[in-house]
Amino acid sequence: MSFGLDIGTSFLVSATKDPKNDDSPVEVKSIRDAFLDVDADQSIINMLKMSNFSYIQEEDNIYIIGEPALSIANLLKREVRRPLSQGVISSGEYDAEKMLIILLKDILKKPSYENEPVFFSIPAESIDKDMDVVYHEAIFKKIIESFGYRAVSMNEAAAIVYSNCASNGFTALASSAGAGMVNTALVYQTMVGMAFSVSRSGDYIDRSAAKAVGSTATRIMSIKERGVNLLDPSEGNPKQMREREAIIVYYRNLIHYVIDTVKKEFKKEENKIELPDEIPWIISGGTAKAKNFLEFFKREFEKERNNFPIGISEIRMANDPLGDVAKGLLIAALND
Amino acid sequence: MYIVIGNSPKKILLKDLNDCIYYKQQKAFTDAQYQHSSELRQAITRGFVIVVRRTEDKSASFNISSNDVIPEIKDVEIGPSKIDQLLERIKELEVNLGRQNQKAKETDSTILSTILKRLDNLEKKESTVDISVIKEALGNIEKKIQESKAQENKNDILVEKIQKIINTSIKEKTKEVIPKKKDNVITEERYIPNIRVEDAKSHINLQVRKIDSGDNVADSIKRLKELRSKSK
Repeated sequence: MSFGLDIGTSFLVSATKDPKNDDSPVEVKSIRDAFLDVDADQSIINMLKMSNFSYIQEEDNIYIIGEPALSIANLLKREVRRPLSQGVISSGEYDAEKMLIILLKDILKKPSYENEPVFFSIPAESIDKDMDVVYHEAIFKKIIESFGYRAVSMNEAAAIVYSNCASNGFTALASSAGAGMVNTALVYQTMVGMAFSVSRSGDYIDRSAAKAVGSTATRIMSIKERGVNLLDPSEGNPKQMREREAIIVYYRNLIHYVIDTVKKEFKKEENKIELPDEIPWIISGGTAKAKNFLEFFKREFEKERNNFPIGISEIRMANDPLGDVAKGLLIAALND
Repeated sequence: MYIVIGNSPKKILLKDLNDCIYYKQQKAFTDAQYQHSSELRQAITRGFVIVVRRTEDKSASFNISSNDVIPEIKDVEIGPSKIDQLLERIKELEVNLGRQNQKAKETDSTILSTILKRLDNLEKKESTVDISVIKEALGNIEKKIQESKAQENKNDILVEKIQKIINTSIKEKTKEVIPKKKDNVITEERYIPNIRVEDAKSHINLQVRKIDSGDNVADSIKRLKELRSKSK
């Protein structure tokens, strides 16, 4: 088996396929990258077992993992804990690193043969925040290789081009809007010409909207994921209208921020990159799953098309916004 | 800025900061937050929270010490400079001018002696030329001699000016980097911790889905192989 492993702030996603059998299906596994610590009590353990919730028990500590962590945090009016923050692992969060090892062990299992490849995603350097991508890459390489695999890192946005742009000669502009950051890459026939990330994305929308309406980020995330129509904030529970309006304002803010950043970054590299006349822009990631996101993005982009430095033939969503990074990494692993 | 780490198995609540610290969780608090929060100060006093280090209050910046050795940069003359070439040319011209002046002087003296001889002859012979004409001719000769002298002065002034320029000119320079030896530079190794998880019991339910022939993964793999073989 070869593995593609998307290590995201919100989800851990793996894609795997038997390389010897072209007809074998691609298996995608995922789990929400969040946990909540609760007191180790037998009644709680019984409840978790009955509900079939994912959890980890270590000595006197219980950590609820995944989607249930979010629901229980909401109930208790607490914030979930995340092993990753804004796209990278934060050094010093020992519990977080332990969570990741346990989760990755469960996802990857034991290798079928020595040096079985695992291509894992890393973000590009952020242009608006100091972040330690080197530590992030090094720790995941160490974790994955400790399981007996051969670990190879690859840019997250470039992986989307692998999974979505075969018909475009693997040439496109791709943006992956995750929870912690938006990763963008300009790829020409699998070669990365430009790559960067910005520290605003889903979490920024949640935090900003929560602050604006006096709520918690976790609650805003739940409302957002339940469904916000970006073209019509009145759609949904009337009691949550203010929250939806705030979410839309920050979505618009995010899109223009990304467009402006692409313009600035491309200007630095334009003398070194030769592109075909027009290329597609592929959008992916959990933050892009909001209802009518694509239409909303296109409308905002049209306001800036005339002074956008790259000719864009079309803007389209990735086929599988949650799984395409992992699939792109798998494609690269199978061609290794 | 106070960098702290949780030292209690129980979560430390900081209600006055609307925050909490978990066991072994690292957090940063500004000096203002530390001063404001009596609960934080209490937790530190009781040992539930440990101060790892104190730094200057900065926002989102890294204090990374640089191991780069800053090289010495000094000014180095490049040459032969254009001014030097000009100076040489001027010297050549001076020499030529000197020779010309020498010739001119010799010519002048020859002309004068010739004129004087003729004048002598004229004195001896009766001349039919009118005195006014002779005076005019002499006047013209005198003018020409004066002009010739003035030209010599002009040349001297010119040479003086150029000399002044040369003396006060700034020589062309460039900057040269003198590399320093890196004997004392130590490359910092990054510490990646070993984390033990053997004691943890996990009960994880992953969301699993299988994607069949509807997906374009197989097609992407095929096209990627074609692209790679074309580029070889």
